[in-house]
Amino acid sequence: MNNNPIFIIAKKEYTDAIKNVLFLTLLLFLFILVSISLLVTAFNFQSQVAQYNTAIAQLKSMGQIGAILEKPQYFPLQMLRGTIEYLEIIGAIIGIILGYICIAKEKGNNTMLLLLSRPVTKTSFIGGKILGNSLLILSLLGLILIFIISSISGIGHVFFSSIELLKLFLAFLFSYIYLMFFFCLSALLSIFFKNIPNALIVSFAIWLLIVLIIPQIGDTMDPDNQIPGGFFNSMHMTKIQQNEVISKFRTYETFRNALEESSVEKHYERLVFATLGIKDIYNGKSLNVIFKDKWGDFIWISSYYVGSILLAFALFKNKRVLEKMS
Amino acid sequence: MFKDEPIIETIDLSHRYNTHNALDNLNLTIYSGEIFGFLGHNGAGKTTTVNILTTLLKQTSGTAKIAGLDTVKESIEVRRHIGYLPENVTFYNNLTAFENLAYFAKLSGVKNVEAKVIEVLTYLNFSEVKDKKLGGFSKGMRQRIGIAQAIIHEPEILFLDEPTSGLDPLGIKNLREIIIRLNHEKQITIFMNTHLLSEVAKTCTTIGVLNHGRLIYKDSLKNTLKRFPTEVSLEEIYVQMETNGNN
Repeated sequence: MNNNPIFIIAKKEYTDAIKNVLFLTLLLFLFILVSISLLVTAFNFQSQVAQYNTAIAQLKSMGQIGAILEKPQYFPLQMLRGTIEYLEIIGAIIGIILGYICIAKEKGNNTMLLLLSRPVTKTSFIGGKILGNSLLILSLLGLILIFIISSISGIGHVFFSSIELLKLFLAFLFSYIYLMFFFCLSALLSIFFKNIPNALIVSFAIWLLIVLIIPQIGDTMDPDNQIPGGFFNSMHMTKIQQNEVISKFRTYETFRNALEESSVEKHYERLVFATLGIKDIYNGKSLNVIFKDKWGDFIWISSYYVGSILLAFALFKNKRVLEKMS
Repeated sequence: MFKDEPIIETIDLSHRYNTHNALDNLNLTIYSGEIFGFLGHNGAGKTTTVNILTTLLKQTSGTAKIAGLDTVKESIEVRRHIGYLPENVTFYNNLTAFENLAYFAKLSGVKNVEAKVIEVLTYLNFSEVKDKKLGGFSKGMRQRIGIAQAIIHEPEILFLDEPTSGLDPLGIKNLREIIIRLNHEKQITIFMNTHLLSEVAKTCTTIGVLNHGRLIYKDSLKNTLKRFPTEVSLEEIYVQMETNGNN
C-alpha cells in the first residue's frame, strides 16, 4: 500500500501543506476567529444569566417571591453559529488556496510533466492530490472540533450529551464536504487555465458570488427579512397565512428561491444550522426530524462535492488540457 | 552491452494541434546505445515528438514504440523504461535534494530508495548537496538533480529536452560529460532535443533534423561530416539542410 502512487502523492500533499506559511496563517486566523466567537457567545450567555439573577433578586426584594421569569436556557451547540459562519467564509478560502497550491506548484515548477512521465496514471495523480488534501481538511476540522469540545467542556464546565456530540460530528462532516467543494473547484480551474493566477482570480470571483453575494441578495429579497424581528411575526400571521401571502408572489418567490438554491453556501448553512439547532425551530429536535426536512440540502452539497471531484478527474484526463501543460 | 536493435521507433507518426500540423508522418528509428541529437528550428515539432515518446501526449495518428512497447497502449510499462528531463524544471524548492529524489524514486517504484538516492548522487559526484534545499541551487545544479531523478530507476532510455538551455559554459561541459558517461558506463540510450550544434558535434553519435514536423535528415555524425565535405562546421551543414528542407 505504501508504494501506491496515490498514497505517495497524498503523503507529500499533506506534509507540504502543513509547512506552507499561507495555509498555516489562514489556519491560525480561523482559530482566532473561532475562539473569539466562542468567547463572545459565552460572555453573552453569562450576561443573560447575570441579568436573570439580578431580576430575580429584585423581584424577591420587592416581595414578589412567586413571580416567574423564564430562565435563560443554555444550548451549547447554538454557541457555534459564529464558528460555522467563519467556516463558511474562511474555510472556503482555505479550500481554494489548497486547491490552487496543489496544482500551481506542479505547473510552476514544471514537475507535472515529470510526475506524469513516471509510472503514475492521471487518476492516481489527481486521486493522490484529493486524498492528501481531504485528510488535511479533515485534520483541520478535527482540530477545531477538539478545540470546541475541550474549550466548552473544559472552561465552561458544560458537557455535551452523546446526541449533541453526534450532531456536532455530523455538522463537521458537512463542513468537510463544503470545504472540499471549494478545494476541487479551485484545483480544477487551476488545471484548466494555462495562466494559473487566472484560476485563483476566477475561484475567488465564484467564492464571492456564492458565499457572499447570492446569499445576501436572497436574504435581502426575503419579505420576512424586511423589518427586524420578521415581517410576518410583527403582523402576527400564522404559518398558513404566511403561505397564503407568499403564494400571491409565486414568480418572485420562485426566482428568490432559485437564487438561493444555486449557492452551495446556502445549502450548507441551512443543513448545519438545522443540525446544530442554531435555527430555533430545529433546536432540540431529533436527527430524524431534521433530516426529513433538510435531506434536499444534503443532496445538494453532496452533489456539488461529487460533481466537482468527477469534473476534476475528467478535466485532467482531457487530451487538450494536457496539451496545454506540455 | 549495446545491442544493434531499435529501441525507439516511430511509424508515420503525426500530431495536430487544432489546425496546426506539428508532426507529419515521422518515421524514425533509434538503436540501442546511440546518443541521438534531435535538431530543428523553434516549433519544428521536437518537443511534441518527445512528449509523444514519453507518453505525455497521444499522437493524432501513427505509432510510436519504446523498447518494443506501444506508447499509447502500454504507456505505464513504457514509463518504466524511460527517464525524462523536461526543459526548465525547477523541482520542489522547499525540499532537499534527497527528498526531491526520494519522491521521484518512490513514484518510479524503486525499492531501496535511500540507498539508491545516495548511489545516484555519488555517481554524479553530487553527494555533498544531499541535505541542501533546492531553493538556493543554480541552474546547473538543478540540471544535475534533474539527471539524477531521470536515472534513479535505471532506465534504458533518457530523454533530454534542451538540457543545456540556460547553462553557463562550465555547466554545459559538466552536463556533456555526464551524458557521455551515462551512455558509456550505464549503456543508456540518449535522445536529446537541442539547439546547440557545438554540443551535438561533441556529444551525439547520430543526428536527425526536423523541419516543420518532417524529418528531413538522419544519419550518424561521422557520415554527416563526410557527406558535407565543403562545410566547415556542423552549423553550416545544418543551415544547408534547413534551407534545402524549406525549399
